[in-house]
Amino acid sequence: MKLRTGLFVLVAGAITPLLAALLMAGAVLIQHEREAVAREALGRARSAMSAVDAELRGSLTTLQALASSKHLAGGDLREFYEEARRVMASQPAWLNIGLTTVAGVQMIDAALPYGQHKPLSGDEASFQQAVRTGRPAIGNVTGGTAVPAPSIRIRVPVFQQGRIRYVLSAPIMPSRLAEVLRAQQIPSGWVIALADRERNFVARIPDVPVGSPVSESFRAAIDREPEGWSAGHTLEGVATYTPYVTSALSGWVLGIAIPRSVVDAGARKATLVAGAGILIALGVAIGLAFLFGKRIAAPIAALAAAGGRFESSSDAPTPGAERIDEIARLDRALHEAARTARERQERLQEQATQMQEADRRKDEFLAMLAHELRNPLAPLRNAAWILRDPRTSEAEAKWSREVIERQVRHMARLLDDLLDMSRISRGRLELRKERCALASVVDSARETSQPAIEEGGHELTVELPAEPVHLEADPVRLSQVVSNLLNNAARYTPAGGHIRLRAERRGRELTLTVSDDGVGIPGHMLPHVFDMFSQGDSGIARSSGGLGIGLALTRGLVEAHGGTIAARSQGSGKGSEFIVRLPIVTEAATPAPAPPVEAGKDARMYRILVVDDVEENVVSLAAVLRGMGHDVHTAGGGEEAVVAAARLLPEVVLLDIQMPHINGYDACRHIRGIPGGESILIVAVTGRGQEKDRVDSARAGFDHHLVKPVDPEELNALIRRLGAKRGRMTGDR
Amino acid sequence: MTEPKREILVIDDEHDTRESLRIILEAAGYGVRAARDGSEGLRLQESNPADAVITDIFMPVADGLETIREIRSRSPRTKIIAVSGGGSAVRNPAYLETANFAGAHATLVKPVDPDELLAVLRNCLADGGQ
Repeated sequence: MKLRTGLFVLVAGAITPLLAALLMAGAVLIQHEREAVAREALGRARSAMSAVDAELRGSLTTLQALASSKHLAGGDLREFYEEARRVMASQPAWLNIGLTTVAGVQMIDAALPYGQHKPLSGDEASFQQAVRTGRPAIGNVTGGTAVPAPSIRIRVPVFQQGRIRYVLSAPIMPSRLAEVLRAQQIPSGWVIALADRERNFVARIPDVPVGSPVSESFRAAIDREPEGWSAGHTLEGVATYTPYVTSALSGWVLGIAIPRSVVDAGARKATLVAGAGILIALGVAIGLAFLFGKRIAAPIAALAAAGGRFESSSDAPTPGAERIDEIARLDRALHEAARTARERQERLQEQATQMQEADRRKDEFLAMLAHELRNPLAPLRNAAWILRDPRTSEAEAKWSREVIERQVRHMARLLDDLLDMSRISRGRLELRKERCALASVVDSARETSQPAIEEGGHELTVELPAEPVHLEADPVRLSQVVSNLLNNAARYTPAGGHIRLRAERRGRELTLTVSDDGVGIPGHMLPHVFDMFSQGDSGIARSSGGLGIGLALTRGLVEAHGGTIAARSQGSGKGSEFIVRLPIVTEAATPAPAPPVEAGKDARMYRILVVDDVEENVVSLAAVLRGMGHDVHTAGGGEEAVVAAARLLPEVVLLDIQMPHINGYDACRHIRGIPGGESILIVAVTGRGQEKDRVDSARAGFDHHLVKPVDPEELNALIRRLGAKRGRMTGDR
Repeated sequence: MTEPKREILVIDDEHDTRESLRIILEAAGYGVRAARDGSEGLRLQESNPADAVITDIFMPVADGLETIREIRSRSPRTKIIAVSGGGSAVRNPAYLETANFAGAHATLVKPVDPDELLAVLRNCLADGGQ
């Protein structure tokens, strides 16, 4: 359903009850209009009837006055006849005056000479009424034989000695009443009519023959109710509404027939006004619905049209959307949604790009790997050919065998590197850390890289610190780091280049720098030289050899040792510099298994008890400590240790923790319990190096915790350091 | 061998490859010079251009392709055989093609069968002779 249709339905829904109410109001209005007309017409009918009644009452009064004539009372009928004649002369509408006895005997007929009279005829009912009631009566229209013209009779009873003696009657011409009706000034087209009790016309305007009957519909209405409102047709056939009244005096009916067209004109006008109002309201409502529908629908349509383009469009509001708040909000929401969608798309694009980049690097790495692995195959194949060739000399054959050995070794190393790299990237590389001298690490690396350096005819200079430096490291791996860097330098330096290896101590850090005067690294490549698959932009110039795996592996190894590596270069052709920084873990002073008693500040001899359930450990450690010039005693278990400690009161006890029967913790507590035991320096020498183990040993009373394998130098330094403190304390005692 | 000894320049950064090729080529009766990179190779070409150059394309110091172009422009008569180390389908066909464009007369993939290398070399030199 379209929005506009919806609005029309809305308007129609709202207007329908209103229409119904308006129609009802219209109907009520029409009814009211009719009733107003009816009330007015009824009023007119009443006043007309009053006029008729007044006319009749006037005639009756005149007749009653005559009835009370003294001549009549005195029985002087002749005089009375004369008096009647005078009265009749004064009443032009009167046709006659007659005096009749109650029995019906005519005594006087004023229309005829005295003494003559016609017999009473017509309208016997009103005569009888007057006799019966003793009150004046008014008759119906009658043709009459005495009076040929139609007339109505008014009758008045004449009383003598309390009894009715005569009835005085006067026939009146209806034309007199017609004049009364005409005096009502009924609008033309209307009908005003007076009917007698027999429902025959007494008078009518416009004229009809007096005495003719009223219409059937009017008669039926009058028979139903004495006063009211009749709808029907006039004798002329005009549809009319006829309000009518009945006179209490005469029993006659007076009606005013109004053409329906006149009555309904007002109602029609009211209906017309109401209808026009409804139509106008409907029109306006529909127009407004159309207009608002358009105002709402147009921006929505604009939004819908813009919807498809939101992804790419700017954030500017859609034209036309700002006129209606809700639509403006919708517009903003759509823009917001579009922006979110755009961002998401961009993010996806970025991820896709990154993945493509990673994929590309991987492909290039594979290409490089294939190259690296293929390279040794060339001399191998050549060597095989040479060995097979009969012209080959013994020297050439020997050389070829060496080539095969060399290249196989090289290839094996390549594969090892690959595996190492894989271990590093999975976090599976195991280091066999031990205390090792920098000098021996460098020597080993030099030896490994010698062929590559000689091959390039390079000159290698090595500068090491004057003082021996010791590291806590895996010597094989560390040597690999250095040789990788040397190989790299040899490889990327044109023949006859200069390679320099420099090691410096800076505080607790060792800086190893390998620099060359080779091809260098372009600036944009620097951040990527250690990346696993970083061959991408390097092009062919730097593609061969180590960069693919070598430097990535080197970095992995350095980081596994807790160090860092960085590359520096002034640019293409300006040489490269690789700087490795490694922590120096131990502050070694003298080289390992040193000959006895090096003259130092504290060359004092200590009495030391070495305790371990493994005999080899006891013997070797005791030998080392004796070599350092100490007085060494041994024990093979906890119990023995406590006994020996009580007997010897050593200055230092080196106590293994994990021993059968009495373990190191218990032994320590017991030794502390010996008199003087609290001041003995007790050192845990154990395979366990977790934090928890250190806490446990401290709690048991150990002064220090060393993890096997113990570095003799470190042990010696510790003994001298702690022993010196303790010595001062005990010495003072 | 009535004609003068043909001189071959071998350029390869790998010592063993160079030296083994030297033995093979000398056994086949060629005179051999060897260089470990492109710039050294170009220096050797300057004084007395070789009849043919066998060069590795992936070389660290000077781009193998650049070397090929240089040799072509300086000594147009020298035949060039380009050898690529990579066997991967990813990039090497493209590189070898590029080598062709750069002016190599033949392109081979490592590890080259010495007999094949000698055959290609013979063909190249025979063309050049005519």
